[in-house]
Amino acid sequence: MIMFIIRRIASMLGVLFALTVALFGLQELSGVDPARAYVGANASAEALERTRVQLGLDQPAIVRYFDYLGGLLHGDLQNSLRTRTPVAEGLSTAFPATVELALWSLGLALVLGSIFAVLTVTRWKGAGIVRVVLLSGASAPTFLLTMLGLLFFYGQLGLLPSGGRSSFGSTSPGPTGLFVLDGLLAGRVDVATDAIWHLILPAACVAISPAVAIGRVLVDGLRINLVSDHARTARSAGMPEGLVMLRHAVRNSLGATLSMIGIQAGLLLGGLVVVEKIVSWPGVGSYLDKSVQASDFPGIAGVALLLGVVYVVLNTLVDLLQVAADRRLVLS
Amino acid sequence: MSAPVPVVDVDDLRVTLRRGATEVEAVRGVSLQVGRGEILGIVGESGSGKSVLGLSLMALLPASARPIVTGRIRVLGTDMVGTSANDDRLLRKKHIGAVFQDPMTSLDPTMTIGKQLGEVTSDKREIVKLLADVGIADPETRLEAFPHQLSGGLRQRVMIALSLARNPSLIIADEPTTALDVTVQAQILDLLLELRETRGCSVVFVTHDLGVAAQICDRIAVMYQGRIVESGDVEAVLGQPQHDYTKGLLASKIDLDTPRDRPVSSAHGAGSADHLPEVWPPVVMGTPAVSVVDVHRTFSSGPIWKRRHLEAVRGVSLEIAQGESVALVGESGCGKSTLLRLVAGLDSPTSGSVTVAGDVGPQMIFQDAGSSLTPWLTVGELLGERLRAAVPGITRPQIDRQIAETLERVGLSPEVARVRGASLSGGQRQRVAIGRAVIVPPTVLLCDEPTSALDVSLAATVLNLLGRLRRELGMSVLFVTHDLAAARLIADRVAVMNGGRIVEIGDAEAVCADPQNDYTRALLSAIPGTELRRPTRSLTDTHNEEGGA
Amino acid sequence: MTAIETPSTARSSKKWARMTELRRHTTAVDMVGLVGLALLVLIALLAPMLAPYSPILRAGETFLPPGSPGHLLGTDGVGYDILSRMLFGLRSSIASAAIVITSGVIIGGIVGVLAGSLGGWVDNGLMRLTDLFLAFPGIVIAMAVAAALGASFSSALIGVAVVWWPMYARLIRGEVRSWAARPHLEAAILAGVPWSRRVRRHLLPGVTSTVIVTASLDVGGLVVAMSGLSFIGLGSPAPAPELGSMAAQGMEYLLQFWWIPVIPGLGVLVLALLANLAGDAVRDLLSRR
Repeated sequence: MIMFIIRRIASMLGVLFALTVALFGLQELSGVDPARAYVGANASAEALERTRVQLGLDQPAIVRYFDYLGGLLHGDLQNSLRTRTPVAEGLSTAFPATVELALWSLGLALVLGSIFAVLTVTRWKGAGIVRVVLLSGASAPTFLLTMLGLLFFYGQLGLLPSGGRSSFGSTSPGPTGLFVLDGLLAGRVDVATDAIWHLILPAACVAISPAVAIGRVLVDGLRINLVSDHARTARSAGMPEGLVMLRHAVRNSLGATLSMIGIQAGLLLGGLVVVEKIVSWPGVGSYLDKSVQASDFPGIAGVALLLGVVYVVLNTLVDLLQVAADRRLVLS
Repeated sequence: MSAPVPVVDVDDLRVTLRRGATEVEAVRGVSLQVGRGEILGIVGESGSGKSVLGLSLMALLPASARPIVTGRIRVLGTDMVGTSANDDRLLRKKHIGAVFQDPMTSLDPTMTIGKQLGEVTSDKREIVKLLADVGIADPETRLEAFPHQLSGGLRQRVMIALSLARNPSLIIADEPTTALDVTVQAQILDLLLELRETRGCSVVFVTHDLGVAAQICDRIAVMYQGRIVESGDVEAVLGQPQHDYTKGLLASKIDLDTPRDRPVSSAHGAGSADHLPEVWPPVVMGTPAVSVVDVHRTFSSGPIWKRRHLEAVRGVSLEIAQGESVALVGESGCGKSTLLRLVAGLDSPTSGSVTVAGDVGPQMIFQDAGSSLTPWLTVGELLGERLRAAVPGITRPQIDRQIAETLERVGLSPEVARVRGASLSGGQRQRVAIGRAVIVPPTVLLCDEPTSALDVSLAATVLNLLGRLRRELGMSVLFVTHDLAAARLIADRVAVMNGGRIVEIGDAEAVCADPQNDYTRALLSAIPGTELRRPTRSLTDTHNEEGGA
Repeated sequence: MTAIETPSTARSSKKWARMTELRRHTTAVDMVGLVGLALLVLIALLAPMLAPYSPILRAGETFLPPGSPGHLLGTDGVGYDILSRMLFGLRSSIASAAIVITSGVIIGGIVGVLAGSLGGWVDNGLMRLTDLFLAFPGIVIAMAVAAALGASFSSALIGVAVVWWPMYARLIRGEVRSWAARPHLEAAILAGVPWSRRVRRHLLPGVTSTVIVTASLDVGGLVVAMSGLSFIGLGSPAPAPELGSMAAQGMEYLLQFWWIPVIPGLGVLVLALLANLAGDAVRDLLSRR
């Protein structure tokens, strides 16, 4: 088991290393000149050349890669071409906003997915309608859902805010940078509820498509396990159907569901970027959007690296959880 | 034997299963009783409805088949037809235990043994005692084991412990020994007999194997096409069968007394198209066709620093003469299939040499004929392909003619060439596989348990067919089987394998009549013959009962 | 022995049976998906003939609502005819989904078949590479690739294709392995069938149905994913008619002139929904065989 954890973490580090190689390669391909970012567009040719030597850009690619990697390890994500400030700085202010939105989205996806699965498997009467709504929701691009949500809940009903993260300024009243949590910690219930109002729409829009994917895997798992030989054994011992479901179907379906959650967490990142742009959420997605508009590759690469690290670490955790749920997996 | 109030009382039971729009009447008016402490065997071939009957006794028919059940089932005086699912469940919980065919899938793979038993009894001492009762040594250490870490025999013992936990009056055992090796099967049968003595529970024992039924049952009910065609005391049914179907089953049942010099008389005259002789002509043997010299095969797995080695074959030498038939007999994991693959050239030995004489390479017949035929190709395409590969430059009309001849030779109509394997029955598929193997007669024909997936009557016809073809075509045969009785019939010589070695080899009749090796003796005594209950066997050989997956 | 009819009646009756079976099992929903998608593909092919205006030239007044004379779906902030742009946007959506899936199946197929059928170190190496790609968050890598190559139609395609093929490679390799483990391939080896024919006749037909099902179920998700890339500006640059970028450019008018951003979004929805339904239909049809 311990060997397995060590192996899994080693392979995670390998993937992260490959990610930096890929991003460095892409940067080379993109033809961006980092020296430009320091001196600005109007600088003289000599100034540009001087900075280039200063930054070691006259060195061969392999040397520059290790410079880049060394920088990464010290938290240096290069300078943005757009703001001419370190990318790391911009991302560190944007990151908590995205984390908060992502956590809410993932949570909602799990809740919606489970409801979807339970309704389908138990053949509840209204399940058909719920399915149609969720399936069409999953076929819709996130931007359409968000726009329709805004039109209806903000434009028509005036219930939800048009965008942004909070009506109480851009700094969180606590240490974590998550408005709801910080609001509650600081005893500012008004801040927390306000933050929830801001979160609902974007989180729901991001959550629908992963919810359906997760729900489907769960449904398949439950169905297979409910007709399995071992469920039959449990029934032959007189176990009530509810317990058969809980102990022999839900438990055995968790592994596949967990791995789908891992996959969907990656896709969810794409949805976040789109939604943040629409509701002006001051997160990593908006940062990426601005970088794209300005063709700022270091900015884009910074976002890709950050989200990549989050994704890879998350999936390592999912793998370990899966093994905890089904120990046979250690063998393979 | 039977007590006044029967434990099970079934009257005119009819079960219809539905799949889509099609309905199948799987059980058509069955009546039976099981007395207290009695073991009733329900015997039949696949599709006879015996398993459906077993499941209906527990009200466990799959809901997806939307079963319609009419008639009466009473267990300990309580009705089970037309009752609520919850009542059925409570009855199962209190009075019925179940043992199923495949203990691997029947136990939850994600739960430890202790946890699964904990679902039926919460007392840990009770669990340990149960495991001890079903003959599991050192039960405390097994509590933390997962099913995949146990051997097949141990898993089935755990299943039995599970079924006994609530001290049921009735145990329904659905083919509980079919997935097990013969020696393990013998141990499980003994266990069930012993439990009946100590606990006094009744058993409904569903099986396809008359021999197994003879070993364990007090009474037998023979099922055919959803009906019980004959039932009575085991001595009477097996001794003086009344119904033609039972007679046929008994006739095609192969055991150590079946005459070797002639084809097996088969159940339904299904082999009538096979042009069988009254008595086999003698075989003329020639120069060595296969010679295996000190062959070892070791499988390695795992990373380099802690490589695990499995020695599947450890120094086997074997010579097969032209025209001779040799059977390799042993239990699962003994290395017999590995050796067969080495001779086939599908695998190469770690050391030693395998030589096959002749121009036409070995051909092989697999256990599961269905999966040895490419599902989307027609029989004609499969046979034609073999011809083209073996006879360069063969013309289309020649191919067609040879295919037709070969199909006829293996007892099939030439029209079969146009269909895919999937639309044929199990027996027909095996004939097609045999046809492909012999359309260009090989020097040596390899058979990997070709009859073990078939019902007894079909198994007999396939053995007859192989016996005829090898004589007609002068092929050598290497026949792998777990069944000494089948080996004795098909082979001139028998080689018994255990632990990767040939422990005994000799004339087929001699090995069976006068075994020299202890393991051969154990194998022989474990074969369920149609003789009635033998004295409890003293099998000390527990090589298959060690844990470890 | 089963009675076997003469070949001609056997064949025609089998064909008939399959037709009736098809009709019985194809639900109304399946038909909506299949027919609807076919219609959309046809419309996309004929876009240049069907579009009333050029998609990148001013066609009339700005902000005309849907239903205006001459502009069925209205006009946008520049005065482009939305219907014409939708037709061309549909065309590029369908084309890009087709290109990405085809390239994914081809690259993934080559990698998967090589890995699955050769085994050993080839398998090991190729699958390590595939796993590496799968370990990255696909959509983020697609963004980075598209950004590095500069915003254009082809770089968005390349970006998505780079992250799409590994899924097929993994799938096909798994299918190849599971079919290859069946005795029918060993039987073919012993029958003397050469390697290339074994792969072609005994292995690939088993793999294709799974691949077709997966590919057709993928189309919907792919259309949505690519519209998302286009939405954040990683597609063809500005005036080019793409559904995602049309929605993005119309965003600022959302509250006054809702149709400008919403109609392209609905276009993506309809295309994806029909593709998903058609994918389900294909799966049901093939799995019943």
